Amino acid sequence: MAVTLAVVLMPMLGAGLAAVLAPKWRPPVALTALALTLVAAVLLVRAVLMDGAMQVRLGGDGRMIGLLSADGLGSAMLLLSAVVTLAAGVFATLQAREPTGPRASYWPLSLTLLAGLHGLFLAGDLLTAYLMLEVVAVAGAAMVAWGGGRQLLAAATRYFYAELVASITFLVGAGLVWTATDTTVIAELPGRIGDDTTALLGLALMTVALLLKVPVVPLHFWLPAAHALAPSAVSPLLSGLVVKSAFVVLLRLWAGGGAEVATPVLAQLLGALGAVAIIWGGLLALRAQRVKQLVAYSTVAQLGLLVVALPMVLAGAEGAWKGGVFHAIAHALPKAAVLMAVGLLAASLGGDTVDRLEGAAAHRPLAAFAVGIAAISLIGLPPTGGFVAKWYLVVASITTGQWWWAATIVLGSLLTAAYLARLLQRCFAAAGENHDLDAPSVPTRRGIDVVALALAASALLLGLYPTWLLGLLEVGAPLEVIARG
Amino acid sequence: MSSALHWFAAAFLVGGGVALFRCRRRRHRLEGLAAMALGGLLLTLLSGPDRASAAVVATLSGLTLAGLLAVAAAMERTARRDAGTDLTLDRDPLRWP
Repeated sequence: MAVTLAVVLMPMLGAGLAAVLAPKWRPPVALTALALTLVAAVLLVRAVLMDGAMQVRLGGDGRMIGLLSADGLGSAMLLLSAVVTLAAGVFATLQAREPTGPRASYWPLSLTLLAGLHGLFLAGDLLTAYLMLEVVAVAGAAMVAWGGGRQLLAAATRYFYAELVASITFLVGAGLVWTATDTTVIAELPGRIGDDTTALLGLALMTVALLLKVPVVPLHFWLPAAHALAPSAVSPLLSGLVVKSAFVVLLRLWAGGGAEVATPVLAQLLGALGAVAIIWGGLLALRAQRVKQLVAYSTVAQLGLLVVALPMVLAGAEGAWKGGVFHAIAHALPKAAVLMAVGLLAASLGGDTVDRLEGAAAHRPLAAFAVGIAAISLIGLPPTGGFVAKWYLVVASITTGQWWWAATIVLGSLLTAAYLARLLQRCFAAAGENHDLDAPSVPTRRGIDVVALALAASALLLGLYPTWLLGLLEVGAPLEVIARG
Repeated sequence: MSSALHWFAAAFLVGGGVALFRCRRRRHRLEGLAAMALGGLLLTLLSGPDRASAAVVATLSGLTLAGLLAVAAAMERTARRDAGTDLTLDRDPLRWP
């Protein structure tokens, strides 16, 4: 129980301390809090692997006001967020004395974001999930806005309003489900929704809200600008973690109460939204001129792959459950690495367009190498984590007789290879005659590249040693509920 | 609550959400947002099966929503101070000239 609370309270306490301390003390205090949170996350994963899923009821006098549920899904996502946030924290520390470095507000905000994410990954009831979605929305939008300027503020405000609309819609949906089922605990929903109109409307509203937060095409309008314009230490948190938090709630909701009402047509419709995102996001990434814009559209496409797992999960495929969550993790690590690395390459070469990266590998070989390794995982080639995830999803699509999702996943991988090959071709090409090496660039420490490389290498390690994670994802998985539905 | 009220609430939320990105003045956006938040909050308060729990949840959610509105107002104010005019949110900032 203590360790379940620690993973939420530790970053919260760190955020409070970082907010009141003098700016020079913020990085060491925040990094200590991030490191301690990572230790707590490792202990929680160990406890879940050894003892099974755990629940912590919040509130006194028999009245529950919140429920934290540490199962395989929650603890795996929690470990991921602790790793990526710590890596982003180290990255931000190394950037701190440079012109593009983070402001002092980065530290309390990143810790608040982490506390919200951890609360969300563990949320066992709808109202805890709602409150944590709000915490994540405020911290995320504030971090996007910190760079200032009208364009960035517009991107942050659009992002924040989209999150707010989604949150209010989710709150109303949760209220309606509560009315109809007498419970807000997600694990108690199976068997209670049935054909009750109020509960179904509530479920529909929560689903739309979460699809806006993930986001899934055509609700993705806010993502490219917010993710592409955010500072380099912030984008990895947004693209790697924040978008996955809504997916986790969506998965819990549909694998729980939603499974009994999900008709085959509805399940296929959800999958179709994911398929459109894979193709549309991939095509836009192919056309993108700015590097981080390319990566942002790539995120739209990769998120589609998560949603494609839903119809197979609802058909009772254990492999789709594992493959979907594995993909959420295997995407976060290389995506965070790419966003850090391209930020460094762009700063070094004094421009943020794909063409401007020509010859970047000669300037920053480690950063370019990180992009290369990360690209292998994002495409889904062996022996990376991305390959393991796609393998499980393709096998699940065939075993459930839904072969069209396998074709979509392969098409998505080809599109990913095409737009990342364009990026890599520029990075590893010799600098052309038109390349202006005297263009103004921002000096950054070379050691910082190692952070991006470490994240990219971790995606590789995940592919080489996937067994422990696949075992963890079985703990508390609601596969019996899905099979009954 | 009647089913008609549920559908009205759903239409209210979707309409408010769309309007939020179409209004060109920050005052209108914040008013729309406040109306959406109030509607959502009232629906939650009315729909809870247990009055005492509903009151606790409504208080917590109300405080959260009030905080969120304050953040939205602060962001809008910052943007106006930055450029002298209200933000336009109906176009992707990446496509700005």
